Parts: sequence; C-alpha cells; structure tokens
Amino acid sequence: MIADERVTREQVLRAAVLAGDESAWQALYDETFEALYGYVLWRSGGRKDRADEVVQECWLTAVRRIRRFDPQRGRFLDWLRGIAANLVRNQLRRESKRRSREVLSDSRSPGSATDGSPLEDLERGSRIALALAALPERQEAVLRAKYLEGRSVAEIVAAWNQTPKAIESLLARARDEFRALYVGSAGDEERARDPAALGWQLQRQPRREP
Amino acid sequence: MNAPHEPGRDLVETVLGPHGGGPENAGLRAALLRRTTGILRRRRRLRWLGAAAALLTCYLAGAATAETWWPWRPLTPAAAHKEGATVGEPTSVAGTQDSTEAKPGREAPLPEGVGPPPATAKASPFEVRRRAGDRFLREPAQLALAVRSYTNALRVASVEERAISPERDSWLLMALKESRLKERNHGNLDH
Repeated sequence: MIADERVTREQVLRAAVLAGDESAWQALYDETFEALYGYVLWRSGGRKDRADEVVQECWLTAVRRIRRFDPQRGRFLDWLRGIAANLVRNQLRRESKRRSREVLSDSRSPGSATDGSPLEDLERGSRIALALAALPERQEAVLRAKYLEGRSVAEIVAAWNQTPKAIESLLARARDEFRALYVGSAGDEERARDPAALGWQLQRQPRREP
Repeated sequence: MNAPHEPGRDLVETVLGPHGGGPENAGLRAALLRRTTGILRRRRRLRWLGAAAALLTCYLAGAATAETWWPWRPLTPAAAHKEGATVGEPTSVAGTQDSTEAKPGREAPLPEGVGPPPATAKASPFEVRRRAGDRFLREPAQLALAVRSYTNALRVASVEERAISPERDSWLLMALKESRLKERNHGNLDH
C-alpha cells in the first residue's frame, strides 16, 4: 500500500473509532493483533505469561488513547509497538525490584535449576527481555527486522533507505551488544544485577557468605 | 547474505528467533476485542449523555431567562377574566371570538389592559374600539388587529367621531379616517 493511501486509510479509521464506530476499531484490531502479539512475545523472550499481560495492557491503553495516534507520524502497528515496548520495560523494572527484595530477604529457593526446566526457560526469557530493553532503539529495530520479521539485509536496506554497508554494520553492532548484555546477565547474581551492564538503577547487594 | 560463522551468531539467532504465538492466544484475542469495544461503547454513551445534558441545560437557561426578563405573556381565560372584558366584546385567546352583535367581520379580541368601561364612564362603542386599536398598535406584530379594531370603530362612529383628531388619533386611525373620507368624496363626485 502506498504511504499516502495508508495514511488516509488510518486517518479515516481513527476518526471513525473516535466517533464510536466499533467496526472501524475491529478492522484496526484484526489487522495488527497477530503482529503485535508476535512482537511482544519476542520482546518478552518467549515468555507467554508476560506477553499476554503486556498485550492486554497495550490494547486497553491503545483504545483509551487512540486520539494520540497520528497516522502522519507512522503506522498504527508502530504506535502499538511503542506502547508495548514501554510496558515491557516497566514490567522488567518491577520484576527487577522484586528480585532485589527477594535477594535482600534471601527468600529465593536455594539453587536454580540448570537442566532446561521451565524455571531455566523463565530465567532465559527474562534475560532476553532485559537485554533487548537495554539496547538502543535502532539496534533493537534492526534485530527485530532481521530475526522477528525474517527480512534479509537487502530488504532492510530497501525499507530503511540505507546503504548495505550501513545496515550490516548496524546489525553487527546490535548482535555484539545483545550478546554482551545477554551473556553478561548470566552467571552470578551480582553480575546479573550490575547496573552498568544492564542499565538499571539497582541497589548493589552484599555478597553471600560462602 | 552469507556471513562467516561466528560463535555468537548462533546464540543470537537461536535466542532471537521468532516465538510461535499459535492458537493459544485465540481466547485472549476474542476477550480483548470484547473489552476494548465495550470501552468504545461506554465512551459513546457518555458522549450522548453529555450532549443531552448540555441541550437540557441550554433549554432550562432559556426558559429561566424568559421567565425573568420577558414581560409579555399570552392571555389565558383566567387572566382575561381577571383583566375584565368590554360588554359585548368577549375576550379570550385570539382566534376564538364570538361577538354578540351581528356585525360583518369578527371583532378582534381586546388586548391586555383594556377592560370594560367603568360603570360611570360613558364610553361610546367607537371609543372602546379605538382604545383597543391603540393598544394593539403598541404591541409588536399586532398591526393587523389594530387595523381591524379601528375599522370596526369607524363602522360605528358618529359623524364627529369620524373627523380626524390629531391630538387623540393615532397615525393609523388618522390614515384610515382619511382614506374613508376620500372614498366618500370620490363616491359623491361620481354621483
């Protein structure tokens, strides 16, 4: 769809939704639900529980704030993704604070599973989500285009109107940054909570007694 | 593009590959659609209620203003009875007149404030109708009734009463008297 057509169409739908037209809302909803859910699941590191919560909150926020959506500035899906990204970030922040409290009270169960059990999956999902949330927006976007949307470098070059070298360079930097954040969040608990590595403002915890 | 193998590449590709949403989210999708359309419906209802409330407020404000500032009131039978009516000139809301005198054309209803002549006054039929015409002339948009009252007055007027009197007659009555005079003179000339 040509950009102008897309803008016009979304403007018409937005106006209809503001007037209370349910079918216009359903048209927007059906067009973007799957893509948004896939994005949120990806940003949540594959954690469905987290993704469901964020998707719910995202749609409720969108219907209440539809007036703020401007089709001239971007697609409806991009606007939803922006809301979802903020919600994921807030969720991770809350989870980090809860973990800090758990460490302080030493209430966590002794010994995390390391054999691929669901707990390990949850931990890995959290690490993925944290690493993606800590990336600069442009790096996150190129990783999303490459790994979630499955685009080739040539397609990204065409869509972003950049040179192939620029995209390859950005992709390489994004991978390295993600790898560093993801690997860096594994290992002992203090490294996992290091504000310098993950960009979170957390209180440093005292080392445990051996 | 086929880039050379890097140890980290597998990790990134493994970890960041798309996760299947699958049919598990179908229930979530339907439930969310219901909730969000419910919000739209509530918002629409609130908007209608707001508009209705605004209209009602405007109506009440207008009615209150009319009650406070608008002096004119239409005659009701009770008000007309209280004001009093001229003998032989029944009064009520305009358009329902029955004259007791057999005169051509209906008599116009008496305007507010024109009551029956006091028992001691000797107001002639012309005088009563003249006064009625004067009152209609002062009311906005009552010119037709003023003309009718004056015409009826002239029909029952004596010779002296038919003479133009600038001190007592309104401009309309003077015009009507002059017009009748010309008709009479014209008729006399023809004969």
